[in-house]
Amino acid sequence: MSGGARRAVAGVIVAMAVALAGCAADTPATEEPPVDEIPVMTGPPGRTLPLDAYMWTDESYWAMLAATTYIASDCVARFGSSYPAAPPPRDEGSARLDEMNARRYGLVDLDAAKVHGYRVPRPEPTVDDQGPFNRAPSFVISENQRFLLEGTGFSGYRDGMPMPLDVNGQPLPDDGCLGEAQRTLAEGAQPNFRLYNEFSAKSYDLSSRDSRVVAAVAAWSECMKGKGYTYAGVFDAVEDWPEALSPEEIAAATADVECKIETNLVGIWYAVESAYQRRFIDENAEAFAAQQRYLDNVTRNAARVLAAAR
Amino acid sequence: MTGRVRRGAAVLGAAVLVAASAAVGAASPAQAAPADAVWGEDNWAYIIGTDYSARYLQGAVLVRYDKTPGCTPSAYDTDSTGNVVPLGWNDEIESFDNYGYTGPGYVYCVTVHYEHGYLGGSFYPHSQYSDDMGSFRNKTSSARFT
Repeated sequence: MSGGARRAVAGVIVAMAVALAGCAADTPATEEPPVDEIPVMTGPPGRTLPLDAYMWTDESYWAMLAATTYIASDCVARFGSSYPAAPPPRDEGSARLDEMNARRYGLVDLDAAKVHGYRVPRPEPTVDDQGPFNRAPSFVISENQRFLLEGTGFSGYRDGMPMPLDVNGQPLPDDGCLGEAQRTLAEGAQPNFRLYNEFSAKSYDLSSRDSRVVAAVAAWSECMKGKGYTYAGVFDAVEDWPEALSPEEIAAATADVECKIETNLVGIWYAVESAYQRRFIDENAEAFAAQQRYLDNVTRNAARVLAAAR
Repeated sequence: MTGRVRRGAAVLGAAVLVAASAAVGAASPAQAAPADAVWGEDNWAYIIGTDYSARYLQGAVLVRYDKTPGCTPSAYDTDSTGNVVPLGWNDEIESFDNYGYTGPGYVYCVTVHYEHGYLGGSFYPHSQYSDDMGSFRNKTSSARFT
Protein backbone atom coordinates (compact mmCIF):
# COMPACT_ATOMS: atom_id res chain seq x y z
CA MET A 1 0.00 0.00 0.00
CA SER A 2 1.38 3.41 -0.88
CA GLY A 3 2.03 5.99 1.74
CA GLY A 4 -0.79 8.10 0.43
CA ALA A 5 -3.26 5.24 0.39
CA ARG A 6 -2.20 4.17 3.85
CA ARG A 7 -2.63 7.72 5.05
CA ALA A 8 -6.09 7.82 3.54
CA VAL A 9 -7.15 4.56 5.19
CA ALA A 10 -5.76 5.66 8.53
CA GLY A 11 -7.52 8.96 8.14
CA VAL A 12 -10.86 7.33 7.41
CA ILE A 13 -10.56 4.99 10.38
CA VAL A 14 -9.71 7.82 12.70
CA ALA A 15 -12.36 10.13 11.25
CA MET A 16 -14.99 7.44 11.82
CA ALA A 17 -13.92 6.99 15.40
CA VAL A 18 -13.95 10.72 15.98
CA ALA A 19 -17.37 11.08 14.39
CA LEU A 20 -18.84 8.24 16.42
CA ALA A 21 -17.51 9.63 19.66
CA GLY A 22 -18.79 13.05 18.73
CA CYS A 23 -22.35 11.74 18.17
CA ALA A 24 -23.11 11.48 21.86
CA ALA A 25 -25.71 14.16 22.49
CA ASP A 26 -25.44 14.37 26.23
CA THR A 27 -21.95 13.32 27.21
CA PRO A 28 -21.45 12.29 30.83
CA ALA A 29 -18.14 13.24 32.38
CA THR A 30 -16.78 9.72 32.16
CA GLU A 31 -17.36 9.35 28.41
CA GLU A 32 -15.10 10.36 25.58
CA PRO A 33 -15.54 14.06 24.83
CA PRO A 34 -16.42 15.21 21.32
CA VAL A 35 -13.65 16.61 19.18
CA ASP A 36 -14.58 19.32 16.73
CA GLU A 37 -11.42 19.68 14.74
CA ILE A 38 -8.27 17.66 14.31
CA PRO A 39 -5.26 19.71 13.26
CA VAL A 40 -2.63 18.25 10.97
CA MET A 41 0.55 18.28 13.07
CA THR A 42 3.93 17.35 11.67
CA GLY A 43 5.97 18.47 14.65
CA PRO A 44 5.85 18.96 18.40
CA PRO A 45 2.61 20.41 19.76
CA GLY A 46 4.26 23.30 21.58
CA ARG A 47 2.71 24.89 24.64
CA THR A 48 -0.80 25.14 23.22
CA LEU A 49 -2.76 22.54 25.17
CA PRO A 50 -5.59 24.18 27.14
CA LEU A 51 -3.96 23.51 30.51
CA ASP A 52 -0.77 25.20 29.39
CA ALA A 53 -2.49 28.54 29.89
CA TYR A 54 -2.42 27.87 33.63
CA MET A 55 1.32 27.23 33.82
CA TRP A 56 4.35 29.47 33.53
CA THR A 57 5.86 30.01 30.12
CA ASP A 58 9.59 30.60 29.89
CA GLU A 59 8.82 34.28 29.33
CA SER A 60 6.44 34.74 32.25
CA TYR A 61 8.59 32.64 34.56
CA TRP A 62 11.70 34.63 33.69
CA ALA A 63 9.83 37.92 34.25
CA MET A 64 8.56 36.70 37.63
CA LEU A 65 12.04 35.64 38.65
CA ALA A 66 13.60 38.87 37.42
CA ALA A 67 11.04 41.01 39.26
CA THR A 68 11.57 38.89 42.38
CA THR A 69 15.23 39.88 42.45
CA TYR A 70 14.35 43.59 42.41
CA ILE A 71 11.74 43.34 45.16
CA ALA A 72 13.86 41.01 47.29
CA SER A 73 16.84 43.31 46.81
CA ASP A 74 14.88 46.27 48.26
CA CYS A 75 13.60 44.09 51.07
CA VAL A 76 17.03 42.79 52.06
CA ALA A 77 18.38 46.35 51.98
CA ARG A 78 15.81 47.36 54.61
CA PHE A 79 17.52 44.92 56.93
CA GLY A 80 20.93 46.44 56.34
CA SER A 81 22.21 43.83 53.93
CA SER A 82 22.29 43.46 50.17
CA TYR A 83 21.04 41.14 47.46
CA PRO A 84 21.69 41.69 43.77
CA ALA A 85 18.81 42.79 41.59
CA ALA A 86 20.05 40.60 38.79
CA PRO A 87 17.71 38.89 36.34
CA PRO A 88 19.02 35.50 35.23
CA PRO A 89 20.64 35.39 31.78
CA ARG A 90 18.00 34.54 29.21
CA ASP A 91 19.98 31.80 27.50
CA GLU A 92 20.96 29.94 30.63
CA GLY A 93 19.98 26.42 31.50
CA SER A 94 19.03 23.27 29.68
CA ALA A 95 15.41 22.61 30.49
CA ARG A 96 12.81 24.84 28.88
CA LEU A 97 9.22 25.18 30.02
CA ASP A 98 8.16 26.02 26.49
CA GLU A 99 9.51 22.66 25.34
CA MET A 100 7.77 20.64 28.01
CA ASN A 101 5.33 19.14 25.50
CA ALA A 102 7.96 18.54 22.85
CA ARG A 103 7.93 14.77 23.36
CA ARG A 104 4.57 14.37 25.06
CA TYR A 105 3.36 12.05 22.31
CA GLY A 106 6.80 10.61 21.67
CA LEU A 107 9.53 11.82 19.35
CA VAL A 108 8.02 13.94 16.57
CA ASP A 109 10.92 16.03 15.31
CA LEU A 110 12.03 14.49 12.02
CA ASP A 111 15.20 16.55 11.71
CA ALA A 112 16.26 15.61 15.23
CA ALA A 113 15.46 11.93 14.62
CA LYS A 114 17.73 11.87 11.57
CA VAL A 115 20.64 13.22 13.60
CA HIS A 116 20.13 12.19 17.21
CA GLY A 117 17.83 9.17 17.01
CA TYR A 118 15.79 9.19 20.19
CA ARG A 119 18.48 11.01 22.18
CA VAL A 120 17.99 14.43 23.69
CA PRO A 121 20.56 16.83 22.23
CA ARG A 122 22.69 18.28 25.01
CA PRO A 123 25.33 21.02 24.92
CA GLU A 124 28.82 19.71 25.47
CA PRO A 125 30.33 21.22 28.61
CA THR A 126 33.58 23.06 28.08
CA VAL A 127 36.41 23.94 30.42
CA ASP A 128 35.49 27.62 30.46
CA ASP A 129 31.75 27.25 30.39
CA GLN A 130 30.28 24.23 32.03
CA GLY A 131 26.79 25.43 31.18
CA PRO A 132 24.06 23.63 33.06
CA PHE A 133 26.59 21.45 34.84
CA ASN A 134 28.12 24.42 36.60
CA ARG A 135 27.27 24.41 40.29
CA ALA A 136 29.01 27.69 41.01
CA PRO A 137 26.43 30.45 41.60
CA SER A 138 26.79 33.71 39.75
CA PHE A 139 26.55 35.40 43.14
CA VAL A 140 27.70 34.00 46.43
CA ILE A 141 25.43 34.96 49.29
CA SER A 142 26.11 34.68 53.00
CA GLU A 143 24.14 32.70 55.55
CA ASN A 144 22.70 35.98 56.84
CA GLN A 145 21.54 36.96 53.37
CA ARG A 146 19.99 33.53 52.91
CA PHE A 147 18.15 33.90 56.23
CA LEU A 148 16.79 37.27 55.10
CA LEU A 149 15.68 35.74 51.81
CA GLU A 150 14.07 32.59 53.18
CA GLY A 151 12.95 33.49 56.71
CA THR A 152 11.93 30.48 58.75
CA GLY A 153 12.50 28.30 55.68
CA PHE A 154 16.25 28.92 55.98
CA SER A 155 18.03 25.70 56.92
CA GLY A 156 19.85 27.45 59.75
CA TYR A 157 16.67 28.77 61.34
CA ARG A 158 15.72 27.30 64.68
CA ASP A 159 12.44 27.69 66.53
CA GLY A 160 12.47 30.70 68.77
CA MET A 161 15.15 32.57 66.87
CA PRO A 162 14.31 36.29 66.93
CA MET A 163 13.42 37.73 63.56
CA PRO A 164 15.54 40.75 62.59
CA LEU A 165 13.90 44.17 62.43
CA ASP A 166 14.10 46.43 59.39
CA VAL A 167 14.79 50.17 59.37
CA ASN A 168 11.12 50.78 60.16
CA GLY A 169 11.17 48.42 63.12
CA GLN A 170 9.17 45.78 61.28
CA PRO A 171 10.21 42.12 61.68
CA LEU A 172 11.35 39.97 58.80
CA PRO A 173 8.32 38.17 57.35
CA ASP A 174 8.21 34.46 58.20
CA ASP A 175 8.62 33.65 54.52
CA GLY A 176 11.52 36.09 54.19
CA CYS A 177 12.15 38.57 51.42
CA LEU A 178 11.47 35.96 48.73
CA GLY A 179 8.07 35.49 50.29
CA GLU A 180 7.53 39.24 50.39
CA ALA A 181 8.41 39.40 46.70
CA GLN A 182 5.95 36.63 45.87
CA ARG A 183 3.16 38.25 47.84
CA THR A 184 3.83 41.63 46.24
CA LEU A 185 3.66 40.17 42.76
CA ALA A 186 0.62 37.97 43.44
CA GLU A 187 -1.34 40.88 44.95
CA GLY A 188 -3.52 38.66 47.11
CA ALA A 189 -3.98 35.81 44.65
CA GLN A 190 -2.77 32.32 45.54
CA PRO A 191 -0.87 30.02 43.19
CA ASN A 192 -2.34 26.61 42.52
CA PHE A 193 0.10 24.86 40.23
CA ARG A 194 -1.00 21.46 41.45
CA LEU A 195 -3.96 21.88 39.09
CA TYR A 196 -1.56 21.47 36.21
CA ASN A 197 0.20 18.42 37.63
CA GLU A 198 -3.06 16.70 38.47
CA PHE A 199 -5.11 17.36 35.39
CA SER A 200 -2.25 17.19 32.94
CA ALA A 201 -1.50 13.68 34.15
CA LYS A 202 -5.17 12.78 34.10
CA SER A 203 -5.79 14.10 30.60
CA TYR A 204 -2.71 12.30 29.37
CA ASP A 205 -3.89 9.02 30.81
CA LEU A 206 -7.49 9.31 29.60
CA SER A 207 -6.46 10.42 26.13
CA SER A 208 -3.96 7.57 25.80
CA ARG A 209 -6.84 5.12 26.37
CA ASP A 210 -9.38 7.04 24.27
CA SER A 211 -10.71 5.00 21.33
CA ARG A 212 -9.67 7.68 18.83
CA VAL A 213 -6.08 7.70 20.06
CA VAL A 214 -6.04 3.92 20.27
CA ALA A 215 -7.13 3.83 16.62
CA ALA A 216 -4.46 6.34 15.67
CA VAL A 217 -1.79 4.33 17.47
CA ALA A 218 -2.98 1.21 15.65
CA ALA A 219 -2.63 3.08 12.35
CA TRP A 220 0.86 4.18 13.37
CA SER A 221 1.73 0.59 14.30
CA GLU A 222 0.51 -0.60 10.89
CA CYS A 223 2.63 2.06 9.21
CA MET A 224 5.66 0.94 11.23
CA LYS A 225 5.03 -2.64 10.18
CA GLY A 226 5.21 -1.48 6.58
CA LYS A 227 8.68 -0.13 7.34
CA GLY A 228 9.83 -3.36 8.93
CA TYR A 229 9.21 -2.59 12.62
CA THR A 230 6.78 -4.36 14.92
CA TYR A 231 5.68 -2.11 17.77
CA ALA A 232 2.26 -2.03 19.39
CA GLY A 233 2.68 1.35 21.06
CA VAL A 234 4.57 4.54 20.31
CA PHE A 235 6.88 4.21 23.30
CA ASP A 236 7.76 0.61 22.43
CA ALA A 237 9.99 1.99 19.70
CA VAL A 238 12.25 3.55 22.33
CA GLU A 239 14.10 0.33 22.93
CA ASP A 240 17.13 -0.29 25.06
CA TRP A 241 19.46 1.00 22.42
CA PRO A 242 23.22 0.68 23.01
CA GLU A 243 24.86 3.59 24.76
CA ALA A 244 26.45 4.79 21.53
CA LEU A 245 24.08 6.17 18.92
CA SER A 246 23.78 3.71 16.03
CA PRO A 247 22.49 3.89 12.43
CA GLU A 248 19.85 1.34 13.45
CA GLU A 249 18.48 3.66 16.13
CA ILE A 250 18.46 6.60 13.75
CA ALA A 251 16.62 4.51 11.14
CA ALA A 252 14.02 3.38 13.68
CA ALA A 253 13.53 6.88 15.07
CA THR A 254 13.17 8.30 11.57
CA ALA A 255 10.60 5.66 10.61
CA ASP A 256 8.79 6.32 13.88
CA VAL A 257 8.44 10.04 13.19
CA GLU A 258 7.55 9.51 9.55
CA CYS A 259 4.72 7.22 10.61
CA LYS A 260 3.52 9.71 13.21
CA ILE A 261 3.35 12.33 10.46
CA GLU A 262 1.72 9.96 7.99
CA THR A 263 -1.04 8.95 10.42
CA ASN A 264 -1.31 12.40 12.03
CA LEU A 265 -0.96 10.67 15.37
CA VAL A 266 0.17 13.85 17.10
CA GLY A 267 -2.70 15.93 15.72
CA ILE A 268 -5.27 13.35 16.80
CA TRP A 269 -3.79 12.80 20.26
CA TYR A 270 -3.43 16.54 20.74
CA ALA A 271 -7.05 17.19 19.73
CA VAL A 272 -8.39 14.43 21.95
CA GLU A 273 -6.30 15.41 24.96
CA SER A 274 -7.31 19.04 24.45
CA ALA A 275 -10.95 17.99 24.64
CA TYR A 276 -10.36 16.25 27.97
CA GLN A 277 -8.48 19.25 29.30
CA ARG A 278 -11.22 21.68 28.26
CA ARG A 279 -13.72 19.50 30.10
CA PHE A 280 -11.60 19.54 33.26
CA ILE A 281 -11.29 23.31 33.05
CA ASP A 282 -15.05 23.69 32.64
CA GLU A 283 -15.76 21.33 35.53
CA ASN A 284 -13.35 23.18 37.82
CA ALA A 285 -13.89 26.67 36.53
CA GLU A 286 -13.50 28.41 39.88
CA ALA A 287 -10.14 26.86 40.69
CA PHE A 288 -8.77 27.52 37.21
CA ALA A 289 -10.07 31.10 37.27
CA ALA A 290 -8.23 31.65 40.56
CA GLN A 291 -5.03 30.31 39.07
CA GLN A 292 -5.53 32.57 36.05
CA ARG A 293 -5.93 35.54 38.39
CA TYR A 294 -2.67 34.59 40.09
CA LEU A 295 -0.77 34.38 36.80
CA ASP A 296 -2.35 37.60 35.50
CA ASN A 297 -1.45 39.48 38.68
CA VAL A 298 2.12 38.24 38.73
CA THR A 299 2.64 38.91 35.04
CA ARG A 300 1.19 42.43 35.29
CA ASN A 301 3.11 43.34 38.43
CA ALA A 302 6.35 41.82 37.18
CA ALA A 303 6.10 43.93 34.05
CA ARG A 304 5.54 47.01 36.21
CA VAL A 305 8.54 46.23 38.41
CA LEU A 306 10.80 45.55 35.45
CA ALA A 307 9.66 48.71 33.66
CA ALA A 308 10.39 50.80 36.73
CA ALA A 309 13.81 49.23 37.05
CA ARG A 310 14.91 50.21 33.55
CA MET B 1 3.19 2.91 24.48
CA THR B 2 4.74 0.11 26.45
CA GLY B 3 2.72 -2.05 28.72
CA ARG B 4 4.54 -0.49 31.60
CA VAL B 5 3.77 3.06 30.55
CA ARG B 6 0.21 2.14 29.69
CA ARG B 7 -0.17 0.49 33.07
CA GLY B 8 1.38 3.52 34.62
CA ALA B 9 -0.95 5.83 32.78
CA ALA B 10 -3.96 3.84 33.88
CA VAL B 11 -2.89 3.78 37.51
CA LEU B 12 -1.99 7.45 37.26
CA GLY B 13 -5.43 8.30 36.00
CA ALA B 14 -7.29 6.29 38.59
CA ALA B 15 -5.28 7.73 41.42
CA VAL B 16 -5.46 11.26 40.14
CA LEU B 17 -9.21 10.96 39.71
CA VAL B 18 -9.54 10.25 43.40
CA ALA B 19 -7.01 12.84 44.44
CA ALA B 20 -8.28 15.54 42.15
CA SER B 21 -11.88 15.20 43.21
CA ALA B 22 -10.82 15.86 46.77
CA ALA B 23 -8.19 18.46 46.10
CA VAL B 24 -9.44 20.77 43.38
CA GLY B 25 -11.02 23.91 44.59
CA ALA B 26 -9.75 23.36 48.09
CA ALA B 27 -6.09 23.80 47.39
CA SER B 28 -5.09 26.98 49.13
CA PRO B 29 -1.61 27.08 50.63
CA ALA B 30 -3.09 26.88 54.09
CA GLN B 31 -4.87 23.66 53.25
CA ALA B 32 -2.20 22.14 51.07
CA ALA B 33 0.05 19.36 52.25
CA PRO B 34 2.92 20.54 54.45
CA ALA B 35 5.88 21.91 52.50
CA ASP B 36 8.11 19.21 51.12
CA ALA B 37 5.69 16.43 52.03
CA VAL B 38 4.40 15.45 48.63
CA TRP B 39 6.55 15.97 45.60
CA GLY B 40 4.99 18.50 43.28
CA GLU B 41 1.89 19.16 45.34
CA ASP B 42 3.09 22.09 47.41
CA ASN B 43 1.95 25.30 45.83
CA TRP B 44 5.15 27.24 45.54
CA ALA B 45 5.90 29.38 42.53
CA TYR B 46 9.49 28.43 41.75
CA ILE B 47 10.18 25.52 39.43
CA ILE B 48 13.21 23.37 40.13
CA GLY B 49 12.64 20.33 37.96
CA THR B 50 10.51 18.25 35.63
CA ASP B 51 10.08 14.47 35.58
CA TYR B 52 8.75 12.39 32.70
CA SER B 53 6.90 9.09 32.49
CA ALA B 54 8.97 7.80 29.56
CA ARG B 55 12.61 7.78 28.56
CA TYR B 56 14.16 10.72 26.71
CA LEU B 57 11.85 13.28 28.34
CA GLN B 58 8.78 11.74 26.73
CA GLY B 59 5.26 11.25 27.97
CA ALA B 60 3.43 12.85 30.89
CA VAL B 61 5.28 15.48 32.91
CA LEU B 62 5.42 16.14 36.64
CA VAL B 63 6.62 19.62 37.61
CA ARG B 64 8.45 20.07 40.89
CA TYR B 65 8.08 23.42 42.70
CA ASP B 66 9.96 24.88 45.61
CA LYS B 67 9.93 27.95 47.83
CA THR B 68 13.32 29.14 46.59
CA PRO B 69 14.43 29.81 43.00
CA GLY B 70 16.94 26.97 42.86
CA CYS B 71 19.12 25.12 45.34
CA THR B 72 22.07 26.17 47.45
CA PRO B 73 25.51 25.54 45.94
CA SER B 74 26.42 22.90 48.51
CA ALA B 75 25.90 19.35 47.29
CA TYR B 76 25.96 18.05 50.84
CA ASP B 77 22.88 19.71 52.22
CA THR B 78 19.23 19.01 51.51
CA ASP B 79 17.33 21.91 50.04
CA SER B 80 14.08 20.13 49.56
CA THR B 81 12.64 16.66 49.84
CA GLY B 82 9.79 14.85 48.22
CA ASN B 83 9.13 12.17 50.77
CA VAL B 84 6.23 10.85 48.76
CA VAL B 85 5.63 11.21 45.04
CA PRO B 86 2.15 12.38 44.01
CA LEU B 87 -0.55 9.78 43.67
CA GLY B 88 -0.09 7.79 40.51
CA TRP B 89 3.56 8.66 40.03
CA ASN B 90 5.05 5.95 42.22
CA ASP B 91 7.46 3.82 40.17
CA GLU B 92 6.57 5.75 37.01
CA ILE B 93 9.51 8.10 36.38
CA GLU B 94 11.90 7.20 33.56
CA SER B 95 13.72 10.49 32.90
CA PHE B 96 14.04 13.95 34.41
CA ASP B 97 15.54 17.38 33.81
CA ASN B 98 16.00 20.10 36.40
CA TYR B 99 14.97 23.55 35.34
CA GLY B 100 17.42 26.15 34.10
CA TYR B 101 16.57 29.59 35.54
CA THR B 102 17.75 30.35 39.05
CA GLY B 103 17.87 33.41 41.26
CA PRO B 104 21.12 35.05 42.43
CA GLY B 105 22.82 32.88 45.02
CA TYR B 106 21.03 29.73 43.88
CA VAL B 107 22.04 27.02 41.41
CA TYR B 108 20.35 24.28 39.45
CA CYS B 109 19.16 21.58 41.77
CA VAL B 110 20.66 18.15 41.70
CA THR B 111 18.27 15.31 42.43
CA VAL B 112 18.74 12.00 44.18
CA HIS B 113 15.90 9.60 43.40
CA TYR B 114 15.13 6.90 45.99
CA GLU B 115 13.54 3.51 45.60
CA HIS B 116 11.22 3.81 48.60
CA GLY B 117 9.27 6.58 50.28
CA TYR B 118 10.99 8.88 52.77
CA LEU B 119 14.34 8.54 51.00
CA GLY B 120 14.63 4.82 51.65
CA GLY B 121 16.23 1.96 49.78
CA SER B 122 18.60 2.16 46.85
CA PHE B 123 18.99 5.41 44.97
CA TYR B 124 19.78 6.93 41.60
CA PRO B 125 22.80 9.14 42.31
CA HIS B 126 23.11 12.92 42.22
CA SER B 127 22.17 14.18 38.77
CA GLN B 128 20.90 17.37 37.26
CA TYR B 129 19.24 15.38 34.53
CA SER B 130 18.91 11.88 33.18
CA ASP B 131 17.47 11.09 29.78
CA ASP B 132 17.26 7.43 30.68
CA MET B 133 17.42 6.25 34.27
CA GLY B 134 18.37 2.76 33.08
CA SER B 135 17.87 0.08 35.69
CA PHE B 136 16.28 2.70 37.93
CA ARG B 137 13.46 3.37 35.46
CA ASN B 138 10.07 3.11 37.15
CA LYS B 139 11.60 2.74 40.61
CA THR B 140 11.37 6.23 42.13
CA SER B 141 9.22 6.65 45.22
CA SER B 142 10.82 9.73 46.79
CA ALA B 143 13.57 12.23 46.07
CA ARG B 144 15.96 14.66 47.64
CA PHE B 145 17.00 17.93 46.01
CA THR B 146 20.37 19.43 46.78
